[in-house]
Amino acid sequence: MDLPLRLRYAEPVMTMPFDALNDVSDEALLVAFGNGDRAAARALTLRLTPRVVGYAARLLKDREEAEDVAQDAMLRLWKIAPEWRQGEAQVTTWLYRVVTNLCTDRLRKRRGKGLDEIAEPEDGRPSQDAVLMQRQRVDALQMALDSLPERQREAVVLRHIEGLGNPEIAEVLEISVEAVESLTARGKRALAAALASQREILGFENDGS
Amino acid sequence: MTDRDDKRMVEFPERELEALFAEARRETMLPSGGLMERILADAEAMIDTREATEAARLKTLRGTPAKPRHPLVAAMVAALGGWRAVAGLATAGVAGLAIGLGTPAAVTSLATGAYVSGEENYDTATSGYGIDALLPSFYELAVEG
Repeated sequence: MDLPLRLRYAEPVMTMPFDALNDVSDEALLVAFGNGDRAAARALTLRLTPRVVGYAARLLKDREEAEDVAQDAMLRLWKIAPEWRQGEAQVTTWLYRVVTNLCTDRLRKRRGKGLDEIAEPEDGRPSQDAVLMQRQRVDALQMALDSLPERQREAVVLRHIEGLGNPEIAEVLEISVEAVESLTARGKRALAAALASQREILGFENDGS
Repeated sequence: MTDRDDKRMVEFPERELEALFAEARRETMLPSGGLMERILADAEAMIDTREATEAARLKTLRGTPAKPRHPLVAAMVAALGGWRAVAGLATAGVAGLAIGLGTPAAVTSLATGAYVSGEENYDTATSGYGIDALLPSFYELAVEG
């Protein structure tokens, strides 16, 4: 986490170190925020933003748009905090659902524009061979993911990259657990098919991984 | 759609797909400091707005003088001993009305002197038990001193 940010907000209002809130659940923090607790807002921001923006970036492939979506999703969380009904849904599940819907909206709007206008993710890393190979692999996976139908892509990303369980994915996508299983299975088959031709290029036969 | 092509699935085994997923997880985009700041600023602004609204609400509650009453009503309420007394009076009035309208058996029998329950009904006129039987007579009290 970048230090200046923490320090700037740490001094005036923080009465206990951030670590003291590590054991507090997302939901308890959200309720505290709803009651005007600024330390809770900070803890939630630090805890949830990376997941939100990571997932949005995976779906949108655009850094700026992912940040916009993340800010929008968190703003909705701040707004709903005072009326949050405890025990109904997990905060992260709720956020994943909001991000999924926001990304879907953006992708639908974008479809009219044509794919060429979308910025490629820039690569600021040193171009060592290993890094390049990994970059290439991740890009290949991303491209294969992009070729999937919307719902399959969402299910596969939530299951295999975000690491959610099937029941939680069912809640996020508002479908049944069986439907999630079917989506991820079909998605993975389609991914395998899309990647099969690039297997050698991606170095899988050389390093035996 | 080639999603049911099992032969190709074998060409790209599950564990390699898993390895790709793992690499993708490591490459997940991290939020910039600017984004964290914007999100936190939104949260703080939300708290500020709520606090301001609450403060304004409290101020209106405290600041507004009590709704002016008609001076005659106010004088009557004051004469009767304030709103607590008026509330008690109103309750008593409603209770009286209810007893009058409902004429519950207990009240009726007490009032007519037929307060002894049982098979035989004491007739007030013949039994000699009147309403005064319910109360100790002045003379009995006087004897006891």
